[in-house]
Amino acid sequence: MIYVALGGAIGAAMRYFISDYLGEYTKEMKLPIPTLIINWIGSLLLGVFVVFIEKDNTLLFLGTGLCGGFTTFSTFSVEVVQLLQKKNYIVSILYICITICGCVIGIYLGGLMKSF
Amino acid sequence: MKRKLYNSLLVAAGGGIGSSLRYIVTLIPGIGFFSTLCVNIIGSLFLGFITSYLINKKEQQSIKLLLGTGFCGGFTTMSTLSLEITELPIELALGYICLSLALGIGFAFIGMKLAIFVRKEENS
Repeated sequence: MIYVALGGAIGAAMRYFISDYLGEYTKEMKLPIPTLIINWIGSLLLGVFVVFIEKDNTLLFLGTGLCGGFTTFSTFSVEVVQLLQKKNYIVSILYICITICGCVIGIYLGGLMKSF
Repeated sequence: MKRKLYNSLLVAAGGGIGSSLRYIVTLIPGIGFFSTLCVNIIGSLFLGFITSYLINKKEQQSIKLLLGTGFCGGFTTMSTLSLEITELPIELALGYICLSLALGIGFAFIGMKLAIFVRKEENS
């Protein structure tokens, strides 16, 4: 439990810093780039962690805690609703598709690294 | 800089609590895949509410960081959802994605509408 809490705290703080930093550069864009990149990176990392780490506590810290706290579904949902409310239908569908595809590909890529 | 450090501590505190709660939900016997679905739906509802409720309240930025960015962000997860999708057979995976998206986005919308309603009640 303490592992998850610690990992989650670090993951969430990292997410805050990255989205703050990327937000400065991408605020002109309609697509919520910071959340997209964070979810991609977090999924790729989780994909790597689940194949390489066998110790339970380490996986709880890095996987459930760090990656879980780093990636976010709630911000994604709210952003989609906001896009829909602004009538950016195409952008919101695009956002949903590339988020899900990118995250699933990230997990697979993480698994692929095992074979090298 | 000092401000940012303070903000990140708020986010970390919320993220730690949110992640622990998410972990506790996974420990419920027999919950299986529904744990991720449940946390994502509840977290989306809650974040929708917070976002809409605090939209014009600049002075409550700290609460937004603690409960929104920290707690809701740490409670919900996209990485575990993606991992679970890859573990399911394709038909189930597609159903799981659609269910997560429809309910997550739907509940975020409900949360936002609920906040507008609550604010109206408060003002009247």
